[in-house]
Amino acid sequence: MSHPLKPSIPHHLEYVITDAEFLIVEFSMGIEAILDESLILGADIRRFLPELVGSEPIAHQVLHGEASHFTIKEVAHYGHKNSNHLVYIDLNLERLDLQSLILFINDVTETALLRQSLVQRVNETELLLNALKRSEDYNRKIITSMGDALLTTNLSGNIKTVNPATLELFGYSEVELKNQPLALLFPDGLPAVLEPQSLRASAIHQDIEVNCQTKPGEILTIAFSCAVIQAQGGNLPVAIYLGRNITDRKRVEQEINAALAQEKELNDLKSRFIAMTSHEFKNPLSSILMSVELLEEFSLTWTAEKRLRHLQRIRQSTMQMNNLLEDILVIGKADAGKLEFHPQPLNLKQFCQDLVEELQFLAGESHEVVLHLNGALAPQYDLDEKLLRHTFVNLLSNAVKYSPDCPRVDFRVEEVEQTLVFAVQDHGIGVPEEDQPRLFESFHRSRNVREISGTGLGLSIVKRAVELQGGKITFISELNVGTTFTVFLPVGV
Amino acid sequence: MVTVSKKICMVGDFGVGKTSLIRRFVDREFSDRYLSTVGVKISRKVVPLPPIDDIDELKLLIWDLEGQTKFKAITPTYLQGSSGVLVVADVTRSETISHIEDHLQLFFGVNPQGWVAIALNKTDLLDSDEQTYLQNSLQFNRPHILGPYLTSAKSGDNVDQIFTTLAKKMLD
Repeated sequence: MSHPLKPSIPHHLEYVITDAEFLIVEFSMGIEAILDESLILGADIRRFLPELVGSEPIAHQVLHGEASHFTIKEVAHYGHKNSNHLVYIDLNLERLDLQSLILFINDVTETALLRQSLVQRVNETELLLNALKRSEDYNRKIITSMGDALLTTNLSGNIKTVNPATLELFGYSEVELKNQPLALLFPDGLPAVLEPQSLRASAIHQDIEVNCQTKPGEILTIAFSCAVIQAQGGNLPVAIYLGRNITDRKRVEQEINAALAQEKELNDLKSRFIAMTSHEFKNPLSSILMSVELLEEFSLTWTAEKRLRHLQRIRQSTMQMNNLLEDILVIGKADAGKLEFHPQPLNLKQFCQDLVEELQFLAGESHEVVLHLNGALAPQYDLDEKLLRHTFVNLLSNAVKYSPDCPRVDFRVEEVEQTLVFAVQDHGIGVPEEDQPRLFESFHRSRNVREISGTGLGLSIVKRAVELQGGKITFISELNVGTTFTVFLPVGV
Repeated sequence: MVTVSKKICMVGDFGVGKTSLIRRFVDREFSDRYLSTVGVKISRKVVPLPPIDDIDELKLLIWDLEGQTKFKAITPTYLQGSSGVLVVADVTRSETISHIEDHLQLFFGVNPQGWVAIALNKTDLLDSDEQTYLQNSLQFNRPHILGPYLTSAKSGDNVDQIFTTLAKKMLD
């Protein structure tokens, strides 16, 4: 039985007419081909089109005119009999009359499959782009947050990219570094080991320690790891530099090395001290012991003159040891920072005259110590007499001691432009050139002193005393010609 | 023997694993290959129920909807007659998680009394720290919303659970 409204349905449309309960009343001829089903009149349409399950309330609304129609587009429908039979259909449910619904079924397989391949391609691209973006974002975050400086350059050494750590380390902005030569970051140009061309030879260069310069001019020690990579495609190679600031580490290393060197120096000093003291004390002690033994044995038989000679030898040896101990005490005080500068008003002229007289007395007949007071001296200067004595007793007695064959020692004193200049000149053995740099070191003695006794402490004391007074000491010396020490002291008010 | 049929829809952005979750639940299969869904594909699965009330089994009609893209929104008419939806997001793509709220609004706009279960899918790609963070940072404490569940169509984690929990809620 044909439905009364059927003639008005265009021929190319496929349809199924059902009652209010979805029971099939009528269907068009082509419908079975689309669905690959044999429809049965009176059967529930949902048996063949389960896609309609759940749409009963809407169908009800359509039937009662509460909704004009109900459409589901592009439903993937698998045949009931043959599960490989896939068709895409558009379903459009409309009201036919008060008791009937008409379901138009349109086969859209062809366009749906076309769209599927299009959507597939678009979505795959989108997913790929998304993954790429995430990966790029991930890498960028790592590079951005890393504490080490990361730079890339082209093969000409021009900076292409920098990370924030680089900017912070070197104090430049990104604009100031981009496209600038990498050499900008080095005080003396790009070191050869870091040149992109030289990096090409092997794969990865690690821990190349170089000095870099920040924008404010601070010098940093940076350990670079570098490589030249060939990016994929037609891109030119890129040099990558990963730099770690090791300035602090280097400084600590240097401090440790300096401390070790000082430790070694102290050890050497101790050894020299022991060697010197054992030697310098041993001789006078042996002399004393020998004289005492001789006096014990022969004092009754010896003449008074001979006894006196031995007693004098004992006195001389004792004084020698006493002087040595004095020197050691002064050095010890200076080392402990207990040697202090206490200037008092001093009549310098009188001081020099007394000093020369004293030294002349000690030197005896063999030497002549001549004092030259050049120009006018003020009646008084603020000077530390004790330190002055340490200085010039040592210099003058050295001058006498180290010029055994040349009797004249000149001591010149003058004031030049607010500075007191003292010069002690001898014409003795001189200081060999190789010993000159270490002349003021404790316990160091020049190689040409031979049997002339000494401790190697005198000049060390002199230098410390002069420096304590705010002055400086220089010398010129020539082997077998003589030595002149010049002391400059600022004039105290 | 009383069988009840219920329609649920899978909603979410493209490529989040809606079709894969259905395949895992219905066919117990998984494939890494991405195959985009166009239109809608309906799958059926009978969920056995414990002997409660007078219903013996539940036939789920699972509507696998074409995922939302920049160019195409989800067609609301597909959601008509659906008592529940499973909103799916991909844990590796944050934008799919931020779109969950849009999908919720779309569904509740069509069916205010429906139930929603939220699946944060592809959790096999996260480590345990990331899973814990995700679980703690995403809360949907609202009526008619279940989850979020950390699911993996690849490993099967929470897949049966999310479907059956949603199905039972729809029967209440």
